[in-house]
Amino acid sequence: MRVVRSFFRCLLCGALVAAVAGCATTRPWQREQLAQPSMKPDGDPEREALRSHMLGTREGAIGGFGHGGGGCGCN
Amino acid sequence: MRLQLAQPARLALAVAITFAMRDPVSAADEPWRLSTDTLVYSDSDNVVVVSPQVAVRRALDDDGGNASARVVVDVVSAASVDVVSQATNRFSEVRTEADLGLAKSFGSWLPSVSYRYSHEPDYHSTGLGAGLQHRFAGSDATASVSYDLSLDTVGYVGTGEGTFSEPLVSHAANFSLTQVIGPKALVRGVYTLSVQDGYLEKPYRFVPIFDRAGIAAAASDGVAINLSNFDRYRLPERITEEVPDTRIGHAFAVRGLRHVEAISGSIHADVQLFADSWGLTAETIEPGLTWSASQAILMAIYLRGYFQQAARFWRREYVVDDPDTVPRWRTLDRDLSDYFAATLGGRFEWQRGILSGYVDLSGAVTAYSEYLFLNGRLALIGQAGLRLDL
Repeated sequence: MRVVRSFFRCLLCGALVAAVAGCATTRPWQREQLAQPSMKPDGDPEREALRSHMLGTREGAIGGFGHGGGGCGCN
Repeated sequence: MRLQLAQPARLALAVAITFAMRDPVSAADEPWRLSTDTLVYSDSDNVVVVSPQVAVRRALDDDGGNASARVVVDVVSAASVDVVSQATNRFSEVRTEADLGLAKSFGSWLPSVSYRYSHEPDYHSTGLGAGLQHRFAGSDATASVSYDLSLDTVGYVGTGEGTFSEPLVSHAANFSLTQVIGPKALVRGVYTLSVQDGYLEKPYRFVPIFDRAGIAAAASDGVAINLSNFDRYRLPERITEEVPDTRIGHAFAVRGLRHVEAISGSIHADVQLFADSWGLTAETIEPGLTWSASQAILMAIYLRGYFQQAARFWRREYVVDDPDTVPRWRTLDRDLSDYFAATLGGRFEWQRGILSGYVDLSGAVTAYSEYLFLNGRLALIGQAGLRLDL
Protein backbone atom coordinates (compact mmCIF):
# COMPACT_ATOMS: atom_id res chain seq x y z
CA MET A 1 0.00 0.00 0.00
CA ARG A 2 2.87 2.33 0.89
CA VAL A 3 4.45 1.56 -2.49
CA VAL A 4 1.25 2.45 -4.32
CA ARG A 5 0.86 5.66 -2.32
CA SER A 6 4.45 6.69 -3.01
CA PHE A 7 4.06 5.86 -6.67
CA PHE A 8 1.09 8.18 -6.95
CA ARG A 9 3.00 10.91 -5.12
CA CYS A 10 5.73 10.46 -7.75
CA LEU A 11 3.18 10.71 -10.55
CA LEU A 12 1.83 13.92 -9.05
CA CYS A 13 5.30 15.45 -8.84
CA GLY A 14 5.97 14.33 -12.41
CA ALA A 15 2.85 16.08 -13.58
CA LEU A 16 4.01 19.27 -11.86
CA VAL A 17 7.39 19.13 -13.58
CA ALA A 18 5.74 18.39 -16.92
CA ALA A 19 3.44 21.36 -16.36
CA VAL A 20 6.33 23.82 -16.16
CA ALA A 21 7.89 22.43 -19.36
CA GLY A 22 7.15 24.65 -22.26
CA CYS A 23 7.38 27.91 -20.28
CA ALA A 24 8.16 31.07 -22.21
CA THR A 25 11.48 30.93 -24.05
CA THR A 26 14.37 32.75 -22.39
CA ARG A 27 16.18 35.14 -24.75
CA PRO A 28 19.99 34.88 -25.08
CA TRP A 29 20.49 38.28 -23.39
CA GLN A 30 18.46 37.03 -20.41
CA ARG A 31 20.82 34.13 -19.76
CA GLU A 32 23.62 35.92 -17.95
CA GLN A 33 22.53 34.71 -14.52
CA LEU A 34 21.66 31.23 -15.74
CA ALA A 35 25.20 30.92 -17.11
CA GLN A 36 26.90 31.59 -13.78
CA PRO A 37 28.79 28.71 -12.11
CA SER A 38 26.43 28.68 -9.14
CA MET A 39 23.50 27.97 -11.49
CA LYS A 40 24.86 24.73 -12.95
CA PRO A 41 22.28 22.02 -12.24
CA ASP A 42 25.01 19.36 -12.40
CA GLY A 43 28.06 19.58 -10.20
CA ASP A 44 31.56 18.67 -11.26
CA PRO A 45 31.14 15.09 -12.59
CA GLU A 46 34.25 13.66 -10.94
CA ARG A 47 33.41 15.22 -7.59
CA GLU A 48 29.80 14.04 -7.81
CA ALA A 49 30.85 10.51 -8.79
CA LEU A 50 32.83 10.11 -5.56
CA ARG A 51 30.11 11.66 -3.41
CA SER A 52 27.40 9.59 -5.04
CA HIS A 53 29.31 6.37 -4.41
CA MET A 54 29.75 7.29 -0.74
CA LEU A 55 26.03 8.04 -0.36
CA GLY A 56 25.22 4.75 -2.08
CA THR A 57 26.88 2.87 0.77
CA ARG A 58 25.00 4.89 3.44
CA GLU A 59 21.46 5.12 2.06
CA GLY A 60 19.06 2.37 1.10
CA ALA A 61 17.36 4.24 -1.75
CA ILE A 62 18.44 3.79 -5.37
CA GLY A 63 18.31 6.28 -8.24
CA GLY A 64 17.04 9.83 -8.56
CA PHE A 65 19.89 12.33 -8.23
CA GLY A 66 21.89 9.84 -6.25
CA HIS A 67 23.52 6.55 -6.79
CA GLY A 68 22.56 3.69 -9.04
CA GLY A 69 22.33 0.10 -7.97
CA GLY A 70 25.06 -2.44 -8.45
CA GLY A 71 28.78 -2.12 -8.77
CA CYS A 72 29.68 -2.50 -5.12
CA GLY A 73 29.51 -5.33 -2.64
CA CYS A 74 29.87 -2.90 0.28
CA ASN A 75 30.09 -5.81 2.69
CA MET B 1 47.43 -2.84 -7.43
CA ARG B 2 47.62 -3.62 -11.14
CA LEU B 3 44.33 -2.96 -12.86
CA GLN B 4 43.32 -5.69 -15.28
CA LEU B 5 40.94 -4.39 -17.93
CA ALA B 6 38.73 -6.92 -19.65
CA GLN B 7 38.59 -7.16 -23.47
CA PRO B 8 35.48 -4.94 -23.82
CA ALA B 9 37.20 -2.34 -21.63
CA ARG B 10 40.26 -2.27 -23.92
CA LEU B 11 38.00 -1.89 -26.96
CA ALA B 12 36.03 0.91 -25.30
CA LEU B 13 39.27 2.64 -24.27
CA ALA B 14 40.57 2.45 -27.86
CA VAL B 15 37.34 3.95 -29.19
CA ALA B 16 37.42 6.70 -26.56
CA ILE B 17 41.05 7.59 -27.34
CA THR B 18 40.34 7.59 -31.10
CA PHE B 19 37.52 10.08 -30.60
CA ALA B 20 39.58 12.11 -28.16
CA MET B 21 42.52 12.48 -30.56
CA ARG B 22 40.36 13.85 -33.37
CA ASP B 23 40.41 17.61 -33.77
CA PRO B 24 37.24 18.92 -32.20
CA VAL B 25 35.05 20.98 -34.45
CA SER B 26 34.48 23.75 -31.93
CA ALA B 27 35.63 22.45 -28.58
CA ALA B 28 36.57 24.70 -25.72
CA ASP B 29 39.93 26.48 -25.75
CA GLU B 30 41.14 24.11 -23.06
CA PRO B 31 39.66 20.77 -24.10
CA TRP B 32 41.66 18.55 -21.73
CA ARG B 33 40.89 18.31 -18.04
CA LEU B 34 43.00 16.26 -15.65
CA SER B 35 41.38 15.63 -12.28
CA THR B 36 42.46 14.12 -9.04
CA ASP B 37 40.20 13.72 -6.02
CA THR B 38 40.35 12.05 -2.64
CA LEU B 39 37.50 11.23 -0.30
CA VAL B 40 38.11 10.27 3.32
CA TYR B 41 35.26 8.82 5.37
CA SER B 42 35.51 7.97 9.05
CA ASP B 43 32.71 7.10 11.47
CA SER B 44 32.11 6.18 15.08
CA ASP B 45 31.29 2.61 14.00
CA ASN B 46 35.01 2.00 13.33
CA VAL B 47 34.87 2.35 9.56
CA VAL B 48 37.55 4.27 7.67
CA VAL B 49 37.48 4.58 3.88
CA VAL B 50 40.03 6.42 1.77
CA SER B 51 39.12 6.79 -1.91
CA PRO B 52 41.69 8.38 -4.23
CA GLN B 53 40.53 9.00 -7.79
CA VAL B 54 42.19 10.18 -11.02
CA ALA B 55 40.34 11.12 -14.19
CA VAL B 56 40.95 12.59 -17.60
CA ARG B 57 38.32 14.25 -19.75
CA ARG B 58 38.58 15.56 -23.32
CA ALA B 59 35.89 17.92 -24.62
CA LEU B 60 34.78 16.98 -28.12
CA ASP B 61 32.42 19.89 -28.73
CA ASP B 62 30.78 22.80 -26.95
CA ASP B 63 27.51 20.97 -26.34
CA GLY B 64 28.60 18.43 -23.75
CA GLY B 65 30.39 15.94 -25.99
CA ASN B 66 33.43 14.44 -24.30
CA ALA B 67 35.54 11.34 -23.83
CA SER B 68 36.48 10.45 -20.28
CA ALA B 69 38.30 7.85 -18.23
CA ARG B 70 38.31 7.51 -14.46
CA VAL B 71 39.91 5.17 -11.95
CA VAL B 72 38.98 5.13 -8.27
CA VAL B 73 40.28 2.93 -5.46
CA ASP B 74 38.43 2.41 -2.16
CA VAL B 75 40.68 1.38 0.70
CA VAL B 76 38.35 0.15 3.44
CA SER B 77 39.23 -0.71 7.02
CA ALA B 78 36.29 -1.74 9.17
CA ALA B 79 35.47 -3.21 12.55
CA SER B 80 31.84 -2.10 12.46
CA VAL B 81 29.01 -3.85 14.29
CA ASP B 82 28.20 -5.59 11.00
CA VAL B 83 31.60 -7.22 11.26
CA VAL B 84 32.10 -7.84 14.97
CA SER B 85 28.53 -9.17 15.47
CA GLN B 86 29.53 -12.05 13.19
CA ALA B 87 32.51 -12.84 15.45
CA THR B 88 34.90 -11.46 12.85
CA ASN B 89 37.86 -9.18 13.49
CA ARG B 90 38.61 -5.93 11.70
CA PHE B 91 39.04 -6.43 7.97
CA SER B 92 40.76 -4.38 5.32
CA GLU B 93 39.83 -4.46 1.68
CA VAL B 94 40.67 -2.70 -1.55
CA ARG B 95 38.12 -2.05 -4.27
CA THR B 96 39.16 -0.76 -7.68
CA GLU B 97 36.84 0.73 -10.28
CA ALA B 98 37.50 1.98 -13.80
CA ASP B 99 35.00 3.97 -15.86
CA LEU B 100 35.03 5.02 -19.50
CA GLY B 101 32.56 7.40 -21.08
CA LEU B 102 31.94 8.86 -24.50
CA ALA B 103 29.40 11.47 -25.58
CA LYS B 104 29.21 13.36 -28.88
CA SER B 105 26.69 15.97 -29.88
CA PHE B 106 24.82 15.93 -33.17
CA GLY B 107 22.95 19.19 -33.34
CA SER B 108 20.63 19.27 -30.36
CA TRP B 109 21.08 15.56 -29.68
CA LEU B 110 23.74 14.15 -27.37
CA PRO B 111 24.07 10.35 -27.38
CA SER B 112 26.44 8.76 -24.87
CA VAL B 113 27.82 5.37 -23.89
CA SER B 114 29.70 4.23 -20.80
CA TYR B 115 31.53 1.22 -19.46
CA ARG B 116 32.46 0.36 -15.87
CA TYR B 117 34.40 -2.43 -14.26
CA SER B 118 34.97 -2.84 -10.54
CA HIS B 119 36.76 -5.47 -8.55
CA GLU B 120 37.08 -6.30 -4.90
CA PRO B 121 38.14 -9.63 -3.37
CA ASP B 122 34.57 -10.91 -3.05
CA TYR B 123 32.69 -8.87 -5.66
CA HIS B 124 33.09 -8.20 -9.38
CA SER B 125 30.92 -5.87 -11.40
CA THR B 126 30.70 -4.95 -15.06
CA GLY B 127 28.47 -2.10 -16.12
CA LEU B 128 27.30 -0.82 -19.49
CA GLY B 129 25.31 2.33 -20.08
CA ALA B 130 23.74 4.25 -22.93
CA GLY B 131 21.98 7.58 -22.92
CA LEU B 132 20.39 10.17 -25.15
CA GLN B 133 19.90 13.84 -24.36
CA HIS B 134 17.91 16.35 -26.40
CA ARG B 135 17.72 20.14 -26.10
CA PHE B 136 14.56 21.84 -27.31
CA ALA B 137 12.35 24.89 -26.78
CA GLY B 138 15.23 27.19 -27.72
CA SER B 139 17.56 25.27 -25.38
CA ASP B 140 15.31 26.12 -22.44
CA ALA B 141 14.44 22.47 -21.99
CA THR B 142 16.61 19.37 -21.93
CA ALA B 143 15.19 15.87 -21.85
CA SER B 144 17.32 12.82 -21.33
CA VAL B 145 16.87 9.11 -21.11
CA SER B 146 19.49 6.57 -20.09
CA TYR B 147 19.81 2.91 -19.32
CA ASP B 148 22.45 1.16 -17.21
CA LEU B 149 23.06 -2.55 -16.94
CA SER B 150 25.22 -4.02 -14.20
CA LEU B 151 26.35 -7.65 -14.20
CA ASP B 152 27.77 -8.56 -10.82
CA THR B 153 29.27 -11.66 -9.27
CA VAL B 154 29.12 -12.07 -5.50
CA GLY B 155 31.86 -14.24 -4.03
CA TYR B 156 33.23 -15.18 -0.64
CA VAL B 157 36.68 -14.11 0.51
CA GLY B 158 39.12 -16.99 0.75
CA THR B 159 37.17 -19.33 -1.49
CA GLY B 160 37.33 -19.85 -5.22
CA GLU B 161 34.46 -18.99 -7.53
CA GLY B 162 33.71 -22.72 -7.75
CA THR B 163 32.93 -22.75 -4.03
CA PHE B 164 30.69 -19.69 -3.81
CA SER B 165 29.65 -17.52 -6.71
CA GLU B 166 26.24 -15.93 -7.13
CA PRO B 167 25.06 -13.60 -9.92
CA LEU B 168 23.25 -10.29 -9.55
CA VAL B 169 21.86 -8.36 -12.52
CA SER B 170 20.80 -4.73 -12.08
CA HIS B 171 18.92 -2.55 -14.54
CA ALA B 172 18.33 1.18 -14.13
CA ALA B 173 16.35 3.38 -16.49
CA ASN B 174 16.50 7.14 -15.97
CA PHE B 175 14.20 9.79 -17.42
CA SER B 176 14.91 13.43 -16.75
CA LEU B 177 13.61 16.82 -17.81
CA THR B 178 15.36 20.11 -17.07
CA GLN B 179 13.38 23.29 -17.73
CA VAL B 180 14.46 26.93 -17.52
CA ILE B 181 11.54 28.79 -15.94
CA GLY B 182 12.79 32.31 -16.41
CA PRO B 183 16.05 34.29 -16.44
CA LYS B 184 16.77 33.30 -12.83
CA ALA B 185 15.47 29.82 -12.21
CA LEU B 186 15.36 26.29 -13.50
CA VAL B 187 13.88 23.02 -12.36
CA ARG B 188 14.76 19.42 -13.04
CA GLY B 189 12.69 16.29 -12.55
CA VAL B 190 14.11 12.76 -12.62
CA TYR B 191 12.45 9.37 -12.50
CA THR B 192 14.48 6.19 -12.04
CA LEU B 193 13.17 2.68 -12.41
CA SER B 194 15.59 0.15 -10.92
CA VAL B 195 15.33 -3.61 -11.10
CA GLN B 196 17.72 -5.90 -9.27
CA ASP B 197 17.54 -9.63 -9.82
CA GLY B 198 19.78 -12.23 -8.23
CA TYR B 199 21.73 -12.63 -5.02
CA LEU B 200 20.93 -9.64 -2.81
CA GLU B 201 22.03 -11.08 0.53
CA LYS B 202 25.42 -10.71 2.17
CA PRO B 203 27.08 -14.14 2.36
CA TYR B 204 28.79 -13.38 5.70
CA ARG B 205 25.65 -12.36 7.48
CA PHE B 206 23.85 -14.64 9.95
CA VAL B 207 20.60 -13.43 11.49
CA PRO B 208 20.18 -14.10 15.23
CA ILE B 209 16.89 -15.87 15.99
CA PHE B 210 15.17 -15.72 19.35
CA ASP B 211 12.40 -17.72 20.90
CA ARG B 212 9.85 -16.36 23.35
CA ALA B 213 11.77 -17.80 26.29
CA GLY B 214 14.88 -15.82 25.28
CA ILE B 215 12.92 -12.59 24.94
CA ALA B 216 11.27 -13.25 28.33
CA ALA B 217 14.68 -13.95 29.91
CA ALA B 218 16.01 -10.62 28.67
CA ALA B 219 12.92 -8.89 30.04
CA SER B 220 13.27 -10.54 33.42
CA ASP B 221 16.95 -9.52 33.51
CA GLY B 222 15.76 -5.99 32.85
CA VAL B 223 17.94 -5.49 29.75
CA ALA B 224 17.31 -4.62 26.13
CA ILE B 225 18.88 -7.08 23.71
CA ASN B 226 21.85 -5.48 21.98
CA LEU B 227 25.32 -6.15 20.61
CA SER B 228 26.83 -6.94 24.01
CA ASN B 229 24.27 -9.53 25.14
CA PHE B 230 22.40 -10.95 22.12
CA ASP B 231 24.52 -14.12 22.14
CA ARG B 232 23.21 -14.90 25.63
CA TYR B 233 19.53 -14.85 24.61
CA ARG B 234 19.48 -16.07 21.01
CA LEU B 235 18.89 -19.62 19.79
CA PRO B 236 22.09 -21.49 18.91
CA GLU B 237 21.16 -21.99 15.23
CA ARG B 238 23.08 -19.80 12.76
CA ILE B 239 20.51 -18.77 10.16
CA THR B 240 21.74 -17.17 6.95
CA GLU B 241 20.25 -13.94 5.67
CA GLU B 242 17.49 -14.46 3.10
CA VAL B 243 15.78 -11.68 1.10
CA PRO B 244 13.69 -11.82 -2.11
CA ASP B 245 15.70 -12.31 -5.31
CA THR B 246 14.00 -9.40 -7.07
CA ARG B 247 13.81 -5.79 -5.96
CA ILE B 248 12.03 -3.17 -8.06
CA GLY B 249 12.48 0.47 -7.08
CA HIS B 250 10.95 3.76 -8.15
CA ALA B 251 12.73 7.03 -7.42
CA PHE B 252 11.37 10.43 -8.27
CA ALA B 253 13.43 13.55 -7.66
CA VAL B 254 12.96 17.27 -8.24
CA ARG B 255 15.71 19.89 -8.11
CA GLY B 256 14.97 23.61 -8.04
CA LEU B 257 17.69 26.20 -8.58
CA ARG B 258 17.24 29.97 -8.34
CA HIS B 259 19.71 32.82 -8.74
CA VAL B 260 19.91 35.28 -5.82
CA GLU B 261 21.39 38.62 -6.80
CA ALA B 262 22.07 39.74 -3.23
CA ILE B 263 24.67 37.02 -2.67
CA SER B 264 25.87 36.66 -6.27
CA GLY B 265 24.86 33.07 -6.01
CA SER B 266 21.97 30.68 -5.89
CA ILE B 267 19.76 28.66 -3.62
CA HIS B 268 18.80 25.12 -4.48
CA ALA B 269 16.63 22.36 -3.07
CA ASP B 270 16.44 18.69 -3.93
CA VAL B 271 13.48 16.56 -2.94
CA GLN B 272 13.46 12.85 -3.60
CA LEU B 273 11.01 10.03 -2.97
CA PHE B 274 11.80 6.35 -3.21
CA ALA B 275 9.66 3.23 -2.88
CA ASP B 276 10.41 -0.37 -3.71
CA SER B 277 8.76 -3.75 -3.98
CA TRP B 278 10.14 -4.75 -0.55
CA GLY B 279 8.01 -2.08 1.09
CA LEU B 280 10.98 0.18 1.79
CA THR B 281 10.27 3.89 1.34
CA ALA B 282 12.58 6.87 1.71
CA GLU B 283 12.42 10.63 1.47
CA THR B 284 15.43 12.86 0.90
CA ILE B 285 15.61 16.63 1.12
CA GLU B 286 18.72 18.64 0.42
CA PRO B 287 18.60 22.44 0.50
CA GLY B 288 21.76 24.42 -0.18
CA LEU B 289 23.25 27.81 -0.84
CA THR B 290 26.07 28.66 -3.26
CA TRP B 291 27.64 32.09 -3.56
CA SER B 292 30.64 33.82 -5.14
CA ALA B 293 33.05 35.21 -2.55
CA SER B 294 35.08 36.71 -5.41
CA GLN B 295 35.51 36.09 -9.12
CA ALA B 296 37.73 33.12 -8.36
CA ILE B 297 36.12 31.72 -5.23
CA LEU B 298 32.82 29.90 -4.86
CA MET B 299 31.44 28.82 -1.50
CA ALA B 300 28.58 26.46 -0.72
CA ILE B 301 26.77 25.08 2.30
CA TYR B 302 24.23 22.28 2.24
CA LEU B 303 22.07 20.18 4.50
CA ARG B 304 20.85 16.70 3.62
CA GLY B 305 18.10 14.88 5.44
CA TYR B 306 17.36 11.25 4.67
CA PHE B 307 14.34 9.50 6.21
CA GLN B 308 13.81 5.80 5.62
CA GLN B 309 10.98 3.42 6.54
CA ALA B 310 11.99 -0.24 6.80
CA ALA B 311 11.36 -3.06 4.37
CA ARG B 312 8.23 -4.95 5.35
CA PHE B 313 10.16 -8.04 6.46
CA TRP B 314 12.57 -6.10 8.68
CA ARG B 315 12.44 -6.99 12.39
CA ARG B 316 14.60 -5.78 15.23
CA GLU B 317 14.43 -9.31 16.62
CA TYR B 318 13.15 -12.32 14.71
CA VAL B 319 11.17 -14.33 17.27
CA VAL B 320 10.05 -17.87 16.44
CA ASP B 321 8.12 -20.62 18.18
CA ASP B 322 10.66 -23.21 17.14
CA PRO B 323 13.89 -23.02 15.09
CA ASP B 324 12.36 -25.02 12.20
CA THR B 325 9.86 -22.26 11.45
CA VAL B 326 12.15 -19.29 10.82
CA PRO B 327 10.67 -16.45 8.75
CA ARG B 328 11.18 -16.95 5.04
CA TRP B 329 12.69 -13.46 4.67
CA ARG B 330 15.08 -12.25 7.35
CA THR B 331 17.84 -9.71 7.25
CA LEU B 332 20.36 -7.91 9.41
CA ASP B 333 21.07 -5.22 6.81
CA ARG B 334 20.61 -1.93 8.64
CA ASP B 335 20.21 -0.21 5.26
CA LEU B 336 16.80 -1.92 5.15
CA SER B 337 15.75 -0.65 8.59
CA ASP B 338 14.02 2.49 9.88
CA TYR B 339 16.55 5.28 10.19
CA PHE B 340 17.21 8.95 9.79
CA ALA B 341 20.43 10.60 8.63
CA ALA B 342 21.32 14.29 8.61
CA THR B 343 24.39 15.71 6.92
CA LEU B 344 25.68 19.27 7.17
CA GLY B 345 28.49 20.32 4.89
CA GLY B 346 30.34 23.16 3.26
CA ARG B 347 32.47 23.48 0.15
CA PHE B 348 35.15 25.91 -0.93
CA GLU B 349 36.04 26.12 -4.65
CA TRP B 350 38.75 28.23 -6.20
CA GLN B 351 40.23 28.83 -9.62
CA ARG B 352 43.54 30.38 -10.63
CA GLY B 353 44.43 30.22 -14.31
CA ILE B 354 44.38 26.67 -15.57
CA LEU B 355 44.33 25.26 -12.04
CA SER B 356 41.24 24.90 -9.90
CA GLY B 357 40.26 22.91 -6.86
CA TYR B 358 37.85 22.39 -4.02
CA VAL B 359 37.62 21.18 -0.45
CA ASP B 360 34.34 19.75 0.86
CA LEU B 361 33.87 18.93 4.55
CA SER B 362 30.76 17.48 6.13
CA GLY B 363 29.53 15.80 9.27
CA ALA B 364 26.71 13.27 9.37
CA VAL B 365 24.64 11.79 12.16
CA THR B 366 22.55 8.65 11.68
CA ALA B 367 19.90 7.43 14.14
CA TYR B 368 18.61 3.86 13.91
CA SER B 369 15.33 3.24 15.67
CA GLU B 370 15.02 -0.52 15.14
CA TYR B 371 18.53 -1.90 14.73
CA LEU B 372 19.65 -4.52 17.23
CA PHE B 373 23.33 -3.64 17.27
CA LEU B 374 23.54 0.12 16.94
CA ASN B 375 21.49 3.16 17.90
CA GLY B 376 23.42 5.68 15.86
CA ARG B 377 26.72 6.79 14.45
CA LEU B 378 28.61 9.96 13.69
CA ALA B 379 30.63 10.35 10.52
CA LEU B 380 33.14 12.88 9.24
CA ILE B 381 33.59 13.13 5.49
CA GLY B 382 36.29 15.11 3.74
CA GLN B 383 36.73 15.41 0.01
CA ALA B 384 39.23 17.46 -1.98
CA GLY B 385 40.16 17.71 -5.62
CA LEU B 386 42.43 19.47 -8.09
CA ARG B 387 41.69 20.24 -11.76
CA LEU B 388 44.16 21.10 -14.50
CA ASP B 389 42.66 22.49 -17.72
CA LEU B 390 44.92 22.24 -20.76
